[in-house]
Amino acid sequence: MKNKTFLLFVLLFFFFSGTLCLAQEKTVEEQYRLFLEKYRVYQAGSDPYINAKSKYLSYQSVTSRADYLDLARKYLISEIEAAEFYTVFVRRRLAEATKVLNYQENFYFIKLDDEITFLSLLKNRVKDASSTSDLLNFWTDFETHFESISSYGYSVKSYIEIASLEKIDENLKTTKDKLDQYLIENLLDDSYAEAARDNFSVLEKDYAKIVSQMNNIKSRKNKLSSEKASKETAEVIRGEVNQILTPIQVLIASYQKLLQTIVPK
Amino acid sequence: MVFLSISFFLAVLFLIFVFLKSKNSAATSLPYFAPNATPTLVQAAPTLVQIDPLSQKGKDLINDFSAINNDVEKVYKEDTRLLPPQFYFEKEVTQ
Repeated sequence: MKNKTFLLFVLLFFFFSGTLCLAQEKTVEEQYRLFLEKYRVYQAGSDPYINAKSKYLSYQSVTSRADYLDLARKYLISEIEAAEFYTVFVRRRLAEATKVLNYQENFYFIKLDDEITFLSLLKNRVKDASSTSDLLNFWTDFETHFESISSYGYSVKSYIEIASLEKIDENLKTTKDKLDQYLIENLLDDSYAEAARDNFSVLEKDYAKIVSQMNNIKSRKNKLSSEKASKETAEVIRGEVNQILTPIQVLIASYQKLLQTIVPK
Repeated sequence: MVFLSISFFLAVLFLIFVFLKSKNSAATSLPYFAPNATPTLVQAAPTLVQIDPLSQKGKDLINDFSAINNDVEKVYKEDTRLLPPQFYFEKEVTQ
């Protein structure tokens, strides 16, 4: 009887823990919406905080000090919460991308998890802050950590862009090889065979240029985790990604055109 | 007497069985047509689908390239949501 009761409790535990996990798992869009809600709360707290601060600085009274402390605590907590939700969103976006792209990038997951834990602890410490100096110290801590979080945000953005590009490159190579094989196997006796092969050879040169550009971008991906990415780094990578996308689209259109001339409708 | 009763009972059962059997077979063997209705015969027209493996493979390749192109379009759309938000950091609260 005891064993059965124990088993029942174990089953109930697994059932409810599984349900909770499912409830916690939010989509990227939901997570972003939640972050925006928190960010709006933070923005709404800006004017009341500035007013309380100016009153405190003007009057230096006990009441104005208490009001300032109260609003400063609320304002900083709203900031930390918004930052927390942003970090969770970045983590979720990375998880979604790595699932699709079949990549395992543990480095960012570990770092982002560390920051989420830190922000959660900091929030509790701010709640108990009793002086302006305490609050300013927490603000400094928050600024330092948010600098790292921003860097991970830029890195994850660039990482996803480069990894998506790598996936495109991989698929392009596979399909291009299939086209090559298709031309060899099926068009040997065809009168268009020679022209098609010539055309394909010309396109091979364009493909080689893309591969060379791709290698440069790939090397950037490896460096991303070892250095702190900034807004400038992310912009440079975005520019390089955009530069390679156009030649890829031109090449794809050329392959399709080549196929359309030899494939009967 | 008992023997006669049992024989009679079995004979009745046998007759019921035969009657039901014949009714059943009649129901299945004779189709029912509504008065003035003519039975229609629906015959599916034979379809001949000729698949040319050569052109099919070529079309598949065109579709594969289109799928890659769609992926390229997705990367073109920059995910600006990942850009970090702006926050205010208080430095000092003194005059």
